[in-house]
Amino acid sequence: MFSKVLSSAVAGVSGTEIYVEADVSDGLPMFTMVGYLSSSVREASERVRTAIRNSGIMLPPKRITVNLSPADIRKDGTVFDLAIALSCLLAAGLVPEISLDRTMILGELGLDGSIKPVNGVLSMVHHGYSDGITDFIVPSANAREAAIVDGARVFGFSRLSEVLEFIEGKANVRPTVYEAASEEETSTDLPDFSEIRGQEMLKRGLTIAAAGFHNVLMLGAAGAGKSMLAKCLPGILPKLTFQESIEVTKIYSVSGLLPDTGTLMKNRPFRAPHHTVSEYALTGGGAIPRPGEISLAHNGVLFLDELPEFKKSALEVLRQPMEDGVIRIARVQASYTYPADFMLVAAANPCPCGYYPDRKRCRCTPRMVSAYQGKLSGPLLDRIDIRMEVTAVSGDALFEEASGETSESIRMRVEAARKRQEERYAGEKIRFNSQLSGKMLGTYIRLSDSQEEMLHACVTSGDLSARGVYRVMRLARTIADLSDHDAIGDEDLTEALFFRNSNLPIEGSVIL
Amino acid sequence: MNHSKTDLMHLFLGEVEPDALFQSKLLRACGGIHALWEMSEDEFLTKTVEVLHPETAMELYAKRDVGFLSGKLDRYEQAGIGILYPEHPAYPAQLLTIHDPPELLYYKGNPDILNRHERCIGIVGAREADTYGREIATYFASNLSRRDVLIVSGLAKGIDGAAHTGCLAADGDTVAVLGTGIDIPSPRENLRLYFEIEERGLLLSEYPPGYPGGIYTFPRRNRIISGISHGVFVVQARERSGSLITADLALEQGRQVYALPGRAGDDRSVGCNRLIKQGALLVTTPDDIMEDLFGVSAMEKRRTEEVPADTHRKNNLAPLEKKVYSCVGLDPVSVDDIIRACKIGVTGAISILYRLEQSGLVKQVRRGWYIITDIAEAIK
Ligand SMILES: [Zn+2]
Repeated sequence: MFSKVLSSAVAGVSGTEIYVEADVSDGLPMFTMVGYLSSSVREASERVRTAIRNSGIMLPPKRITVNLSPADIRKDGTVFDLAIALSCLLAAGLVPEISLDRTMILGELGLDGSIKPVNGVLSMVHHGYSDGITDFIVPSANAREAAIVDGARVFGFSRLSEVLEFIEGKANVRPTVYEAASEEETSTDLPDFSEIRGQEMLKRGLTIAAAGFHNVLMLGAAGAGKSMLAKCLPGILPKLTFQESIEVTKIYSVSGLLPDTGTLMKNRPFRAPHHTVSEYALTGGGAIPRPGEISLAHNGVLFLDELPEFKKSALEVLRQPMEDGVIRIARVQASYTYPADFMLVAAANPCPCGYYPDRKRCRCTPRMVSAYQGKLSGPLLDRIDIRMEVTAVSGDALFEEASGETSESIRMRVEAARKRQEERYAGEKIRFNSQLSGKMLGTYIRLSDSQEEMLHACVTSGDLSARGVYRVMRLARTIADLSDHDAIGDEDLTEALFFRNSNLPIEGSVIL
Repeated sequence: MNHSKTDLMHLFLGEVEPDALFQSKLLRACGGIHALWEMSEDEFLTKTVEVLHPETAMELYAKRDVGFLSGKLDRYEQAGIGILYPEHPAYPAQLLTIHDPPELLYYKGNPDILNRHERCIGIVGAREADTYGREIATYFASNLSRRDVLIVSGLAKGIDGAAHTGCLAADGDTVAVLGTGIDIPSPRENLRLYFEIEERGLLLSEYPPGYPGGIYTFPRRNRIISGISHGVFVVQARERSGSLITADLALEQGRQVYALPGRAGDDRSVGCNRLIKQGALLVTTPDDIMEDLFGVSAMEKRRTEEVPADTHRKNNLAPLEKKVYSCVGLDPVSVDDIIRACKIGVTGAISILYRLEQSGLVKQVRRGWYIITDIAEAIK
C-alpha cells in the first residue's frame, strides 16, 4: 500500500514543503529511504522503527520504501521523523486511513517514542499556512511558537502514541491558542538611559540614530562608557511591528535561539560579536546553513566594539548586506538569503591600548596610533551617518543629578518620529530615513534656498563631500521628524551637520 | 648649464660626510675651500692624511670634476633644490655666529627671506602637544610674523606644525629646518605643510637630497633652528625632549630662551616649567617676546600692525549666545559643559555653538569640543 503525507524543511529563513511517501510491499524485510538525503535523515530509519516499536506497534516484516520529494532539495535534520513514521504506519494500514492532505507534520522522534522540538517551526508553519495548509501537527514544545501564525490550527504532541490516538479519534485535542508573553517573560535587563549621568550630546545623538535607524560610530578612550551607551540603544528603539517581530522570531527559531517559552520576539535584537569573530559567524552559512550575527541583528542593533580590531575580511563582508538589507549565501547544494537589515553601532578606541593621548597610561608609538586610526576609513565608514566622540564624564557632572529622562520616555519620541516616516514612505520599500537612496532624496527632502546655500558653502570649503551631503540631508530629515517638523528647519540642518560622520581629528592627532 | 666655480667647489665639499665639524676639519687641513679646489691629487692626499683614509681621499678627489658636479647641480636645480654656503649672500648671517655652522645647506623655496627680517624666532615644542599648546603656537607665530619676525621651526607634528601654520596664515615668512634630506617630506601628517612652505617659505637642510633621517640628524638639526634665531620659544615640552635639547643649544649659542608656563604636574609642561626655573624668560603674550627682542619703544612702534579683533560680531550676540560664548575659552569645553553651565538643552546648545562657529568666534577642535578663536582676548 502507498501513502503520502506533508512535512517541511527550512530554506534560508523560509519554509519549503517536503512530501514524504511510503510504500509497503511483499518481499524481503527491508527499510529503504531515498530522495537526496543527508546522513542525519538516513539515520531516521533507525529512530522511526524503534520509536514505533516502543509505542507498542509492530511494523510488518515487509519491504518498506520511503521517498522524500521534491528530489532537487537536499534534506537535512530530524524534522521529518514524525512524518516518516506516520506515512509508514498509514502505508502498512496500521492506522485508519484518514485525509492528511491539508495537514503538515513536523517533529523529531526519540527512540522511546517521544516527540522532540525542532528549529524553524514558525518559518515552516508560516509558509505552509500561506500555501493553504490548515492543520499542523507539531512537537508540543513548539506549539506556542507555531500558533503565532494567526488562523493556523496547531496541535502539539509530546509522544507518537498521542498523535495516533488523535488520528484515531480517541482523544479530544484542542488547537493551541497563542498567548502573548506575560510581562515577566518580556522584561529584560536592558540598562536605562536615566542611569547614565551627563553625556547629553551622546544621548541626543543616539536618539537621532534610533529614530532614523542611522548607523553610528563612537570614538573615545577605553572606559569612557561606549558599550554601556550602546547597550542602552535597544531600549529607545521603536517596538517591533508585528511583521518585524515575525521576521525576527523566524530567524531565532531557525537558529534554535528562541527562548523555551516559544513566544514572539518583542524586543529589538542586540548582537555584540567579539572582534575575533569569523566571517562565517558574521554572515551565516556553513555546512548546515545557519543565520549569522548580522541576521540575528536583523531589525535591531549590531554592535561592533573596538572596530579596528576586527579582521579586514570580516568587515569587508558587511558591505553588501549594509547596502541591500539581506545577505546571500551561495553553497554547492543551494543558495540562501537571510534578512540582515541592522543598525550598525561601531565603537573605536583612539589607539591599541585605548588611552591615547593620555601619555601617563598610553605607551603606543605615534606610528601605532596613526595606523590604528587609519583603519577607521574605507567603504564601511561611508555607510555611517553619525559620528560622536565619547569622553568619560568629568568629576563635576558625576555628582550632578542624572538627566532623569528614561529610555521609555525617549522611546515615545522615537516612536512618533518613526510614525512620520512610516506615513511618508507608505508607497516605498523603505521604512527609515537612513534608507533613502540618492534618487529618493529629491522626492522626499526639500531644502530652502538658504539651506541649500549652507550645504553648498560646506562643500566649497572642503568640509563636506558629495556623499556627505546626502548623509546630512537624511540626518536632517530624521531630526525634523523628531521635532515634528514637516519642513526641515535651519536648526535641524545645523544639528545634522554637527552629528554627521566627518573627519574631524581625534584629539592629539593632526590628521586622521 | 654654466655654474659658478664657488657653487661647484662647495658642492664638492658636500661629497664628504654631511657633518659640519668634519667638513670644517677638512677645510682647515687643506687651507680653505679655494686651496682645496685648486690642489693636485698628490697634494690632496698628503694634506688630508690626518683626516681621511687614503682610499676615501682618492675616491673623493675623483669627484672633483666640473662635469660631474655640474651635472649634479643641474639635477638639483631641476628638482627645485638650491645650495647655500657661508660665502653666499643668502646664507643666514646669524647662523655664522655659532661654533659649528653648516658649510653647506640645501634649500627649497625662497632663500631671500632668511636675511630680510631684523629678528628671527624659533618656535619649538612637543610633538604630542594638546589643543591649547598648538593654539598658542599658532597664535604666537601669526602675531609675531605680522610684526616682521621670521619664524623658524622643524616641521615636526604638534607645536612645530602649528607654528608654521600660524605663520603662513598670517602671510608671514617661515623657515622649516629638516632633519632629513631636503627632498624627503616628513612627517606624513605635515605633507601638505611641506609643499606649502616650499611654495611660500623656505625649507632648509644640511643633508643632501635622498639622505634618510637618523637618530643623530634631528638633534643636529636643532642647532640650526636655534642658530638662525635670536631666541627660541618653547611652547610645551616633556622632560628629556628634543625641545629641551634645542633650548640647551640656544643657551650655548647665546640665544634667549622663552618658555610658556604650564600647570604643575602636567606632563607636557614639565620641560617648560623647568626652563623657567633655570632662568628662561616666562612668556604669556607675544608682547613679552617682542619687548625682549626689540626693546619697549621699538615694540610700541610695531604694535599698530596687530590686526584688530572683530569686536563688532561679538557685540551683536544675542544674550544666550553671549552667555555660551563666555563659557568657551582656550581649553576645549564640551557641549555637555555648555549645557550644564548655561542650563540649556542639547539642541539649543548645538545650534548656538554652530552659529558662533559660523561667525568665526569659536572653533571645534574635535567633535563636540570648542575653543575660542580670539586668543589675544583670552590671554590678555
Ligand atoms: Zn595607547
